[in-house]
Amino acid sequence: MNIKTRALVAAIGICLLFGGTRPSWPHSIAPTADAASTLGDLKSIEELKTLFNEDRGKPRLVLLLSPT
Amino acid sequence: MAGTRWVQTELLARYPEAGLRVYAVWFNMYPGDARSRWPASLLTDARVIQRWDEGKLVGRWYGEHMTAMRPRIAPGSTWNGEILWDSYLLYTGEATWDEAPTGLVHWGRTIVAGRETLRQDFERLFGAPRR
Repeated sequence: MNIKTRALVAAIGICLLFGGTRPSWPHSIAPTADAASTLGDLKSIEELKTLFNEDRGKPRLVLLLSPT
Repeated sequence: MAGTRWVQTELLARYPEAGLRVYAVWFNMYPGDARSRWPASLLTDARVIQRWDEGKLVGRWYGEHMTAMRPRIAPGSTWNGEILWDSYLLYTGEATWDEAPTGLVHWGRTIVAGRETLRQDFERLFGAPRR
């Protein structure tokens, strides 16, 4: 095989390994961000109200939770 | 805790591209509860905003506004009390909050008791989940 053929074979091999699939993640490690792992203090209902209205346009889910 | 874990694994992880926002409001309800026991690894999705509510302000607020919410309770849910907790409330994208939030789709307590309705509402809003 000449150099071009070898390069082509290598490229096809790489495509077979990685091509045609998009990056995916198992359910346990869905997209994360630092924001989700920080816990700020809620000072007032107004604060939640402001957040709620800033996110207008998206469905919103409020969860009321206790830590244990 | 089981309900919160279910939201992460069965909703947020299965709808990674859904344009939604989640507000997780934590507060003490059991004797052993404390901010230091907040399970940071439970809700890891980037769409979640988490707050500690030392005064139980949000739970009390919802407790005081229960009358208007009653018709939207998820089948299987029950609640009577002053402070709403271990609960979810799902709102439409058009919802706004002036005196009170509009656009309540359903609410449930416990989260586990109301989860089938929540799952169905997610399908209506966002389509079939990722398997």
